[in-house]
Amino acid sequence: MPAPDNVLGIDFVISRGLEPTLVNHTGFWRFLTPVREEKPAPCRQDCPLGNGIPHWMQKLQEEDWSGAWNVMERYNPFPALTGYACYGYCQENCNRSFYDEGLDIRELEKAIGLWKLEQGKAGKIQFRPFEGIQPGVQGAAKSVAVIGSGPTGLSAAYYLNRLGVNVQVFEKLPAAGGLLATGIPPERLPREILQQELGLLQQAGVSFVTGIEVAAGDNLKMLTDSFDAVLLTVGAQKRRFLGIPGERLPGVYNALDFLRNLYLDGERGLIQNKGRVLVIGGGNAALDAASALRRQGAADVWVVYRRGREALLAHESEIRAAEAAGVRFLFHTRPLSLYGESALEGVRVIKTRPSRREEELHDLTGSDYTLSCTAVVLAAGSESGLNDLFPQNLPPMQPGVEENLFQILELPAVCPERGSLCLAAGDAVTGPQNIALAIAGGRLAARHLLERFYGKGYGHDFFGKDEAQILKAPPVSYEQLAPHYYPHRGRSDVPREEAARCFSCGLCSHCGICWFFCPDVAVEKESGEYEILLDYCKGCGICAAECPAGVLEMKELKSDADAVER
Amino acid sequence: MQMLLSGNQAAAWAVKLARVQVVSAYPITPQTSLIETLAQMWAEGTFAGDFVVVESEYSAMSYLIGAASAGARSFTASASHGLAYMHELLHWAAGARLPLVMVNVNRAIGAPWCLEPDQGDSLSQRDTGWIQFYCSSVQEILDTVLVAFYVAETTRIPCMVIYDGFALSHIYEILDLPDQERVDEFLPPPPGEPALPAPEPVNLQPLVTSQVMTTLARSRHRAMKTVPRLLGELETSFQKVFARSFTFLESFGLAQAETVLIAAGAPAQTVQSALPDLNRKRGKVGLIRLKLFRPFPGAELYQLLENTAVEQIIVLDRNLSAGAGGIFAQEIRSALQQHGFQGKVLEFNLAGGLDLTPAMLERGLAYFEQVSPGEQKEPLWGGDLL
Amino acid sequence: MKKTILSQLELDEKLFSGHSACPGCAAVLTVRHIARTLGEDTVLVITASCWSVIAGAGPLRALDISVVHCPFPSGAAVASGLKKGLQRLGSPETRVVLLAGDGGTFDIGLQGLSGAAERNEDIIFICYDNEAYMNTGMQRSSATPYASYSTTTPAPLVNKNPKKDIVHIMAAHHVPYIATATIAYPSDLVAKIKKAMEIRGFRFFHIFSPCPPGWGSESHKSIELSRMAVETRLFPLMEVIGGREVVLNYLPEKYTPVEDYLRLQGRFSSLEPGHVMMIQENLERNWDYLQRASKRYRYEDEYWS
Ligand SMILES: Cc1cc2nc3c(=O)[nH]c(=O)nc-3n(C[C@H](O)[C@H](O)[C@H](O)COP(=O)(O)OP(=O)(O)OC[C@H]3O[C@@H](n4cnc5c(N)ncnc54)[C@H](O)[C@@H]3O)c2cc1C
Ligand SMILES: Cc1ncc(C[n+]2csc(CCOP(=O)(O)OP(=O)(O)O)c2C)c(N)n1
Ligand code: SF4
Ligand code: SF4
Repeated sequence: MPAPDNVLGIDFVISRGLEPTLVNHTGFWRFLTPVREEKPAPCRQDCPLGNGIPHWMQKLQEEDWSGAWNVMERYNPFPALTGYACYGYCQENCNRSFYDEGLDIRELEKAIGLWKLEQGKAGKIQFRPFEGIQPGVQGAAKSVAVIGSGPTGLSAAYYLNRLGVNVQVFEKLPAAGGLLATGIPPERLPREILQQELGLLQQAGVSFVTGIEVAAGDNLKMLTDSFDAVLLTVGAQKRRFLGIPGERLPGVYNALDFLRNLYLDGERGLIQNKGRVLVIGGGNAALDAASALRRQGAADVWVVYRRGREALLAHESEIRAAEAAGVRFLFHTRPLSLYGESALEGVRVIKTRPSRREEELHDLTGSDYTLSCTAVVLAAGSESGLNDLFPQNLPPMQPGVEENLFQILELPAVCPERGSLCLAAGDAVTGPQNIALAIAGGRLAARHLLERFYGKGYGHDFFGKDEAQILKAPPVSYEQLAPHYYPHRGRSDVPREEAARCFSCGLCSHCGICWFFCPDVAVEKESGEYEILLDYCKGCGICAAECPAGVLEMKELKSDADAVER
Repeated sequence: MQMLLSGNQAAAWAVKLARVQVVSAYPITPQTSLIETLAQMWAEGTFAGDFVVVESEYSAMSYLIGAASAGARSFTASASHGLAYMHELLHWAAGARLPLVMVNVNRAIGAPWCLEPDQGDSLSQRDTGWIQFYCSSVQEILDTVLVAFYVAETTRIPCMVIYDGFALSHIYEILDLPDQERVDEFLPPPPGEPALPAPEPVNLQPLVTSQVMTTLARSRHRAMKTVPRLLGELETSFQKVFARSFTFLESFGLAQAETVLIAAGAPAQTVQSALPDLNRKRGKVGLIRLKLFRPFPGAELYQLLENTAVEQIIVLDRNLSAGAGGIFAQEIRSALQQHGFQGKVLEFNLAGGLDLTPAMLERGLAYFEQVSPGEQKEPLWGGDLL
Repeated sequence: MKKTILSQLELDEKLFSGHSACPGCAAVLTVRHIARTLGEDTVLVITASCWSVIAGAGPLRALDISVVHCPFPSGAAVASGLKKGLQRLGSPETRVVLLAGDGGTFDIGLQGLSGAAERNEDIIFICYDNEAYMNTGMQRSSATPYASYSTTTPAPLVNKNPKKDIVHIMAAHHVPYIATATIAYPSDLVAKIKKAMEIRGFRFFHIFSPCPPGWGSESHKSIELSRMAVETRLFPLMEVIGGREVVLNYLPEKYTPVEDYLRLQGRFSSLEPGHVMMIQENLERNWDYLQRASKRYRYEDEYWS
């Protein structure tokens, strides 16, 4: 308004604006409204654990190790184990790889894992009980027997224990760890790491009973009687045979047995074998066994596989490791029979027509020939331990909860009397998979049991918001991101720097870009979160276009009330 | 102190004595010696203000708008094309109520090129909202510049001091040069607060609506209207400090006159000196010297004529609004009619900056005696009298 | 990235919501951050332009620093005079910054700009270049690029003149500091403003400023277009120090073809392949020249991240 100023007694008015334009509610210009919508990062979607990678990356960027561990723990209590031995599915489609170089997620995970082990050993972090347990719902202490001490069992034990349940783990072998101890080569997973994890678990209150094989029938009934629930995490290590003549000849070994004996007892008989060893199969067990043989000194080791290299079931890293170890490959070749007088002398094989994994296999007629060898290692796959446990007939099973691939089974017939529970999880349910999925299975089983014990929503405070819905959406693509404000830079050995390369795909990282680029000053930082001021937002869409994480999207809304974060 | 100075030099001295803080200017004949004098004073250190030569009159006025917004006492001078080039900014300065003072040395505006003292340049700026003074002597130039600062700063209306090119700008006269103390007594530092820097952030001269604009226009008009009263009051203080008079409307021989010549600027001086002779030869001729043109002192002019025997007014215009006539004549005619003056208002036009000689004046008066009452179809063209 | 953007949070906001710039206007966004960087003790002089309106009408003000408006061609001189006045009246530290559009810089304001530059007036002249007269509705200026539509160069004729090279015009004045910038490179922009604040004398900024309604671009693309202008090398980020030392601040790792940039804008909709080629060639020549002219390159992580 013109300001009158009559100090001089003479009419004096000039025009000046003094009042902020805030009185103009320019929000009514808007057609599209920015809406914040969390979406799954490709790494999370590819990770069998659905690991909240961008969440802990944000903590790591600030060198907030305990914060990172707190986030990690909700998804994965054993980041050191996966950090060493997981195949790193998360890294396969990292969006950063389209920009410069994908993140070394597993290395960072390992770093968090090692931090946890160190802190745990020093007694600086506690694993039980979780402080956030909702008072009142807890009720009487519950107890769970976990059968099998592989990663599934360990994970379930961890979470149950962490949330106030008494856990006892039963393991038939003298050592705990499942395939972590008996299958995965120590080059990949140093055993002291496993020992430390086991140590911390015990320290936290989980008790282990080793050398006891739980059998179906009375044995199992006893457990269901004395525990509120029994969780079968017996893995999938039941031997499978090829169904060809000669499989029981001396000189024919099973891959899992061979590895178990090697790793647990240092049994090296087979390795001293000076002749040719054929490993039959194309999975992890086959490749690991072949590599182990070579690394331990066996001279002439061949993997015989009925299809080509691309069809191998083993993870690429294992194949590479085998190749590096000097394992040789005979592809498109299938054994017809194993022969020998009193012991193995050779294998009759036939060539197969090249085919993809899902196609039917065809032999090339007349192409059979004999391969002489001194030993054969069979790695023809394995079956669920449940089949071992219930050799006659499996009790009726019903799917428990299913989240993507992680699944658990309920076996109601095992313990009908007291209404106590029997559940199965891990490789035992899914067939041979991987550590990450096993841990996820254990976690799912634990959550399921906790809810059954204490009611729905129990443990929510610990596990955080239910992200199942988010993880079902399509992953954030590179096109949805605006990575321009990240300097082009390859991997770094410094965890803080490497974590800072994370685009935080689909997750608000509080980078402030939306606030910075809003021409209408319509983004405000309110109690740590960026809020859109709908009174002023004109809907230009710059915030959404520039959001590096692809979290903001422009939507046509019926009313402003719809704009609250989804 | 008595001193021999040209009109331009007198203006420069006034600027120095007024303790002007910022001068920004661009040369143009016949203003040039004014700014050269200032430049010399500045170089010698006797002028304590800033003297900034910019690249155009447009920028000179812009520069002052900036300087005055911060409250600096500011001055420029120009003429003719230079003044025309400032046009947009003259409006702006007035609208922003900045108390600028400038000198315009009258010169014809082309085409074609002409350096003579036509008043059309300053009269073209009549409606820009500036106060306009027309001076008739070197002493008056000095006095008016001082008064202009006082008036501009009191009313917050910019003020233009105008005089004729060469006829005044380059004519040397002996004048009384006041000493600094006297000037300081008359002209204290500007009152009021400058617009900038503002105590609170402000959006100065923003886009406004017509309602706001009309309020501003009315305010400017009202402030303009106080100028004659203010000048009336000033007469005493001026007299007290400088021991001479300052008036904005001056009359000679009105008591006996039947015919009155009205003129502004140097022609008025010519008439004044010719007056005894004219009265002797033609009888009953008077003179009114119009010194203030904006605001137009219509009421004051009528008051002078009210109880006289004047029947005929002859307006000397050294300017022309083609298709209408002399601009002073238009204004005088309409103002006097408004106040009920019954006599004739006739036009004697010197457009193009014609030099008025006593002989021309005499011939002109003879012509006007012949004009049948009320009917002058065309101005009397001074050119026809050469 | 996060660090530099967030460090901006410490500076007080100087622009109010509710201003009347079009959605997606880069000019208002740029000035938002320039004003934050300049801070309180600043007077912004604004010549006739979109910003005359954006700054707030009537009793309002959109900025939390003082603004004074002035006629279209007068900016540089008004700002110079204001600075002088402030110096004389006891506020010598108050910064005077002029904001003008490309019209108020390249065209009608050029004379005053040249004068102020030559006199080395102690002001910061900021030209936000939206490449036409936008306030009056997209008429061409001498900053309008070759082959662009405007309401005064309608199709099929379009603009036949190349854009005026204002940076070199200013460089020829040998002023202490000249910089180009765009909001798509915020750290660069802010660093340059800060640098300019430390320098005395005439400082000139040429700021690339997409205008969605004028350019016929989508409002959310303003930052992307700014970025592309740099990545194509159509608008190199550079400084000229003392008029003689040319510094190229940013060498794109990969050059975006200019066609990608042109395609996003309605004003180039009647572009022919020949036009595109000419624009690309012209740009290459200019880049070539700049590379040869520049004495040093700065490519510091800190500066860029
Ligand atoms: C050779 C090999 C290498 C592998 N390498 C990798 C790798 O590098 N990375 C990766 O991600 N995955 C790898 N895997 C897969 C991964 O090890 C398994 O998917 C995972 O260990 C499954 O965990 P689990 O707990 O379900 O079962 P397991 O690890 O098999 O554990 C089951 C446990 O239950 C015990 N048990 C069984 N029956 C009974 C019973 N009746 N009473 C008591 N105890 C019982 C078993 O002794 C065993 O300890 C590999 C697998 C093999 C075979
Ligand atoms: C002397 C003069 N001529 C014309 C105009 C009308 N006018 C006002 S703003 C403008 C265009 C401004 O263009 P630019 O400087 O590029 O700024 P933009 O509007 O694009 O922000 C014009 C032509 C004016 N105000 N003054
Ligand atoms: S950049 Fe980060 S969030 Fe995105 S895929 Fe890679 S690890 Fe995941
Ligand atoms: S016309 Fe262009 S420059 Fe002007 S306010 Fe709108 S977007 Fe901004």
